[in-house]
Parts: sequence; structure tokens; C-alpha cells
Amino acid sequence: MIPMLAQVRVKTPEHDIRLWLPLFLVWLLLLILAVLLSPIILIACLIARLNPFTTVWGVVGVIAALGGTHIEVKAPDANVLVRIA
Amino acid sequence: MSEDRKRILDLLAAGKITADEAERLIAALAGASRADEPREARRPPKYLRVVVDADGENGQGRAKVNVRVPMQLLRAGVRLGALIPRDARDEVNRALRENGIGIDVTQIKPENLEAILEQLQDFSVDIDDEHATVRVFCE
Repeated sequence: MIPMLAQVRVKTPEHDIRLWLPLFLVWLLLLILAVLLSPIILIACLIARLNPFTTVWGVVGVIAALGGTHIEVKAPDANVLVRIA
Repeated sequence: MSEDRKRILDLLAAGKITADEAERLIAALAGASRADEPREARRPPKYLRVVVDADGENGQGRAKVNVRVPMQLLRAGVRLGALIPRDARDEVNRALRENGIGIDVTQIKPENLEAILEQLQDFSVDIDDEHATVRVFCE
């Protein structure tokens, strides 16, 4: 399943930034962009001798597999957390 | 001790079977009991975890890194990797060989990866140093 939400937190002694990114909006924008750029993508795939459907499916597979990714770095001067759900 | 194992040892003690036969029987018994394990217990791992606990820069405090990567991402990456043109893969192979890594990336295929992932359940790397602790494992 395609991840729908990303949580980003950056904490420094001065700032504490928390972001909840609604990824479904990002995917919507990317979808529109992909449709607009589809002729260019198609030409690029043909030049690189790649099957455009396999390529697009591969990219979608990577995006869909991102769910559950968790990256957390705690340093003395800054903490960073990225969680994709 | 299980009843079957006890029976095998009794047979060995009674001289009815040899030590080799007893060993084979016990090994077969162990294999059978593994096969009987619930499917849940043998399910391939879902995540690759990397946990690092190290001294901070200039010895200031501790730095901790905790990364969890879904195995599904590994699978998708390999599938996407199959799209890399052959020339580029040969280039990667050459660079790996130059750095002493004899891996042929053209042989990393989704079907091969599944076999590796199934065996990763027991995979664990622990590095303990006076300045850092690194753990890589699957869960």
C-alpha cells in the first residue's frame, strides 16, 4: 500500500520543528506531473531501451514499499526523525 | 528432552543402533520439529534494522542512529535495479571488483533475493567498539 503520511521532526537547542506531510497530496501532484511528462518519459525509456510500463511500475513499487521506513538520528546538538507510514 | 529423542538414546544405550545412526535419527528429528514450527515463526523478516550508538564528535555526548528499512523496499529496489542497462551494470561490477568486492550485480534478481530474505531471520551483525556499538539485524 502506498504510504499516506510522513512525519518529520527536527529538534535543535533553538528549534523544534514537527511536520506531518500528507503524502497522498504529494502523490496526486506527482501523478499529474507524470501524466504531463509522459511523452518525455516515454521517449527517455525508448532511448534507454527500457520498457516504459516496467519502468513506471518499478518506480511505483519503490514508492509503495516506502511505508514503514523509520530513520532516527539523535546527536548531542540535534535530533532528526523521519517516519513514513 | 522429547520422548522421541529419549527413545533414540535408549536404543543407542541398548546397543540396538550405532552412534552414527543415532546422530542421523536425532538430526532428522530436529529437521522434522523445525518443519512442524508454526508458519508464523518462520515467516521472512519484514524490516532491516541498523542501530548505532557512538561517541559524538569531539567526544561530546553520544550519537544514536536507529534506521528501519522495510524488506519490501529492498525487493522493489532489486526489481528497479533490473532495469539498469547492461553497460551500466558492467561498469558497477568493474568498480566493485576494483574495491575488492566480488559481487556480480547482474546476478541479483528478484527470485534470488527471495531465497536470501527467507534466510535473513537469523541474520545479525554486532560490532562492539570502545567508541561505538553497531547492530544490524532483521525483524
